[in-house]
Amino acid sequence: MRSVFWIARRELATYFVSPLAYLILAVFTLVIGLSFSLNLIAFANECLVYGNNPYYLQQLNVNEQVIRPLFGGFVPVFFLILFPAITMRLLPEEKRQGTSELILTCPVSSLQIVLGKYLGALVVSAVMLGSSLTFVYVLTSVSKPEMATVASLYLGVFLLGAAFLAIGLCLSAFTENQVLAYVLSVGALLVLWFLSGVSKSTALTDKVGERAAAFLENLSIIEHFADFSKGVVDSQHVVYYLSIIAFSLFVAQRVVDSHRWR
Amino acid sequence: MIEVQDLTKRFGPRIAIDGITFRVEKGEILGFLGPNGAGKTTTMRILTGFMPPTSGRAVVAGLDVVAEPREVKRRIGYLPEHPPLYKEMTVRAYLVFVARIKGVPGSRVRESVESAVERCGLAEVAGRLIQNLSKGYQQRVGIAQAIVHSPEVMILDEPTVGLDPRQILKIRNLIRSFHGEKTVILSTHIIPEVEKLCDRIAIISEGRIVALDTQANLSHRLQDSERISVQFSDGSAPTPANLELLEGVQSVIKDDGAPNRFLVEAKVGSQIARRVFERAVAERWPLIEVSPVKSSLEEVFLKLTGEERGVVA
Repeated sequence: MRSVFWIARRELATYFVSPLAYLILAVFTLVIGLSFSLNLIAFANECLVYGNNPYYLQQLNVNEQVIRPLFGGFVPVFFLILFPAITMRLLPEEKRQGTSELILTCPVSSLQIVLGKYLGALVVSAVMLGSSLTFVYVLTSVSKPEMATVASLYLGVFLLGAAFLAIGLCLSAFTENQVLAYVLSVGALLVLWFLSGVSKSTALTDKVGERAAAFLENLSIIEHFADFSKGVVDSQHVVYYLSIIAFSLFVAQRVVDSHRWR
Repeated sequence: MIEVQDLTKRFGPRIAIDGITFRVEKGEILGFLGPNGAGKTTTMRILTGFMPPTSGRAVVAGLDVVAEPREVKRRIGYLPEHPPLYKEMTVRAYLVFVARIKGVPGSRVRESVESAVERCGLAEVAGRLIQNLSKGYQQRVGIAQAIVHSPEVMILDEPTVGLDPRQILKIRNLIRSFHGEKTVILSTHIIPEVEKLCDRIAIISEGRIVALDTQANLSHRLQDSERISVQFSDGSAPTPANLELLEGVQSVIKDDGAPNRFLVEAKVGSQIARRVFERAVAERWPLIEVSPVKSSLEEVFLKLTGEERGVVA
């Protein structure tokens, strides 16, 4: 287990000596900050205009109008674009630099290698998400968001990101080419994402039947996120994301291991 | 310390190594000499647990590399052909990382790293990023990486390739310092390197060990003829045909490097030098030099690996 920690630590150090991590953090905070301010200003204006009307005032909700659009809308899209950039170098870089020959001749298992790499990427995503807590803090100083809903949103976003990273890491194991790893990951995530749209099309439902369509919908990576953004933590969604992570890491471990046996 | 028996590795239909068997005793330095693609790297990769053999057995420090890879890996220091460096790290941070994942206990990491740094002459660059170091220093970091966990066995794949002569000298001295202390296998296709460093030499060709012995024995074993180089001054020098008439001579080759210089090869025990001298006196040939030509390791190598003379220099 100690090796996992050291591998993760080395990965993290690499992220933070290269501009990559800073770039991703900067883009993330910039865009989320912009959209946060715009949402907040719009919300404040509505409060000013409708604040005197008790009927409208009931409709105004800082969670619904400021936080949810932010995390429900922007953040998953960002993850889709940026997280494959985090994972694309994890395994290909080892092969390119020839360091795979070091790590595979060290007394560590391929599972430890995969877990260490995954953990490193996960910490980067946690730092990224953590930086957005400043917006929540700003919000608490001017209004009273429901913290439970915010927490469920954060859990959902974290799990979604963790699943994206696991899929990205898994696909990066198949290639030595970082660009290919990136494109593969974005492609796979897009497919998993749009399964939800596909499953809702009636043309498909007529063809394959209700049950198959429901199955596809359940497979969609974004469908399971919806409840979290409403403040509902349903164990089936948590299990879904954890299964995606476990499966991806398992495949990645098998692929890394297969290099030993070629 | 290392025992390899009938080791075979196939990549699909291609046989990379074919029934290799050898032993290395504790403290010995064994050199793998062979042309590129002969199977040196593959053999090393199997010993280090990077890849498994198709068949056969390899035992390092009493442990089977397939059955107990982790224990074996703990005992081996491996320098691959391209040193496996995380170039964005500093030398010291890199060595600490390697020490940690090689399983050096936390309390001894600092001490192990410092001793590897000192031994490999890296003290002045220990705080610098590996990517900014010269190739020679990077190679030394590669060797430091291989000794940081004090392994009993070291496997070095072409440790001096691509270095300048001064750097080569330093790396060789470093490797020589392991003699008697660690069991070393090193591969190279540079002949003087094995001559200078190794106790025994294994010549590998097309996936097989074609000879395995000390350098002296190897040269001796292949000495099936007596050879001399003779030099005449200008004037009435003999032609090769004149020399071929001498008793026991098998061939006479005109040396391209100098006029009137010949390489004479004769049967063992024919005392060719003396015969040439006596004939020169009788015929009044202006003989100015006679010197014996020893069969060099290079020739042994070329002979055993079946390459044309002059193709590999």
